[in-house]
Amino acid sequence: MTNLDKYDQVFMIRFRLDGNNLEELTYQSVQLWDSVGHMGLIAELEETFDIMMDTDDIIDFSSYEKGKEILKKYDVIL
Amino acid sequence: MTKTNFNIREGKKIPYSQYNKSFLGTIRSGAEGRKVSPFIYSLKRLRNYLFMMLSLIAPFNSLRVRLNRWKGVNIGKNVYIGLFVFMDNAYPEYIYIEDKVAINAGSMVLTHVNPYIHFEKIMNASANPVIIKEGAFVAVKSILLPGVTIGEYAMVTAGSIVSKNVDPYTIVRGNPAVKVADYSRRMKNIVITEKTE
Repeated sequence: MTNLDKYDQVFMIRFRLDGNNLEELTYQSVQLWDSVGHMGLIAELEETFDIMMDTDDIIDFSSYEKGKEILKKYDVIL
Repeated sequence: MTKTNFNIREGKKIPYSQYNKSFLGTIRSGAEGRKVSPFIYSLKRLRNYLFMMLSLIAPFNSLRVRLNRWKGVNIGKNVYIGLFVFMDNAYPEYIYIEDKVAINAGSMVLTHVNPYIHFEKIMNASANPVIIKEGAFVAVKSILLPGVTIGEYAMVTAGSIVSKNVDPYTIVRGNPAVKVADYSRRMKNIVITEKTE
């Protein structure tokens, strides 16, 4: 399984999505991606890729695409 | 800073509610359930009622904490209790709040259930301890039901109804509250950093 597959899967499982149009996903665009859902998403991504994000990055993590850019900073190539 | 430790009481069976109880009947059965004299029970009940009413509206946290302690709730250090937080009035001694806990406005902590006698065959009348471990956070209007333990540094989100134990370093939400995030990795590291500095 590639890193991109793992990344997608976190979004799909956490927000109960079928995998279509993940690229359009932004914060609060689905019901489950609210403030609490965001904390769960970050915790799961950190666990999956064995990283520890800075607080600024957690706040900046506002969309699926933005998340990819942020993960690059932690040497996670998607 | 030393950690506050409590001797946790075991849960116990209590009498079922009876129909059409008179004032004296209420006092008598309450006293029997607690194995104290009716006079002592009446005084305690009146005292708890006054402390409860005052603690709901007291303007300062330190005062709310103190009133709840006087009522019998076991409370550690650096605890925040918001306005209109209702702590079980009949069995407050079954509530254990460890250090650095925050319980926000309008939440309820319940330790007993005593249904009418006609439910005898389907549910127990009992008092069970509610334990809120160090650093836990209970957001506004949450309800903690009898017998639950909120783990260390766990979060209960607004309006949740907690009917099962909450794991440490997790977030729960909803009715019934379910785990939606586990931040044990992040929080445990933060705690370790604090200790080593």
